[in-house]
Amino acid sequence: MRLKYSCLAAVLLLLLIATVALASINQFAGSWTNVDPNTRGITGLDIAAEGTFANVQGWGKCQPIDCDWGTVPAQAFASSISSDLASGADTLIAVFDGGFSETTLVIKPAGNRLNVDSYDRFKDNSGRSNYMSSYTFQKAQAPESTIPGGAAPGGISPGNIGPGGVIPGSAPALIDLTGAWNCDDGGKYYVRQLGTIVWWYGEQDPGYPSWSNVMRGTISGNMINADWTDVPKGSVMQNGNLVLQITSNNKLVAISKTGGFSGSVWTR
Amino acid sequence: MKVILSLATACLMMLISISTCTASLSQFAGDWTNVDSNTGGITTLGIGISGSSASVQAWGKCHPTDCDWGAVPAYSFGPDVSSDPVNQAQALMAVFDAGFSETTLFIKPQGNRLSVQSYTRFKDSSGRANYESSYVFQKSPSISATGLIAEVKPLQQFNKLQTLPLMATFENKP
Repeated sequence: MRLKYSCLAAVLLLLLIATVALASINQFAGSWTNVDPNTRGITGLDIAAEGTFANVQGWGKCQPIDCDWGTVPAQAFASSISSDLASGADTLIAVFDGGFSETTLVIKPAGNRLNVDSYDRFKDNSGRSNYMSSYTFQKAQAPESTIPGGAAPGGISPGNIGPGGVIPGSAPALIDLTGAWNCDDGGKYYVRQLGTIVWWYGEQDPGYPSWSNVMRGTISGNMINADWTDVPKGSVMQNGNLVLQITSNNKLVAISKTGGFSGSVWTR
Repeated sequence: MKVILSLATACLMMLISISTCTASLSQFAGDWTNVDSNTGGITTLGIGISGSSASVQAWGKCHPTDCDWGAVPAYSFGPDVSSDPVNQAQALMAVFDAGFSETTLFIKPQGNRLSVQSYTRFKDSSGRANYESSYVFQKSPSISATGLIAEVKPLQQFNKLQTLPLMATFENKP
């Protein structure tokens, strides 16, 4: 009888440890699916992690296909002020601003799953009540190693990065993006990297382009946060923000775009 | 043995229902003290409720007296989009911006206590790690006229009844 109680206690202890154990930031990385296939809330999460940085992409239940909430940077939290966030992160917080509402996700590992508390608050004075929801996510299929064919809703692929969302063998210090690049929007981009600052001039055609733009961004980890604007060599006049992921020294992938930017993948 | 197991199950069910039950917004109101008197984090919370609005004031551990973080508006969250924010609030979220850092509190009722998750992120590129903390708060002993002290006051006054007129006379002297 004593043996049974001891075993039971050991199992409970293990369960407790698995639930509250410290997690590395890589433990969050990957594609995650809500364990409740009938959820009316968040259906999927894609989390990319590198160093102490993480990005979260969310999908909400929509018809006929789920709604892509886009990708936002997430804040990682550890148990103490002196912790190493890369190896000790045990919570991610990601805030999605939908304009009329704002959703804050508090994401914690629970064994090999994720527990997610979602706090939705409305900013449109519509009278709708702020509400909270809790979800459990499990790992979806392993990330693909290449982009083609694997596009997620919204046309942005979570693929093209190694298992765990980490870029294999590409330290930011070794990155030099300076050069001429081609983009899947048909344009040519002339990139100059000065330390952690990146500039480009891009155009649809070297003669009489329909659009031409300039960009200035800052490298942080494997991400580039940038502002871009069209310039009047072309006729289109738009501007916005870009978040680019440096998937290798020869490849950039847009994970967030505003202002109507059409390009998504740059190679050279 | 069966009885013990049944009782244990019932207790667990009660505990779960207490932890997850829907709370009214007024349940958050009041002054709250960290049950851990040795905390190095948040020592006290003061939560004010007015209609469907809430505000949270916090104090952090400081020497010689605790640091007042000030009062900020808090968002309340119900169980769904059509819930009554006054009578079905399940959580409050309050964000304190200290300039170099930002602390977000998620506050939930837990029986007659409050469970608080605190997330502090640094914005000053100091290299300090963002960190989280968990706290439990209990209602502070009230010093208002309707609180604990007021209940014992009549007894004290009764004992001093005969001296009161004299004191009053003395105090009223020019």
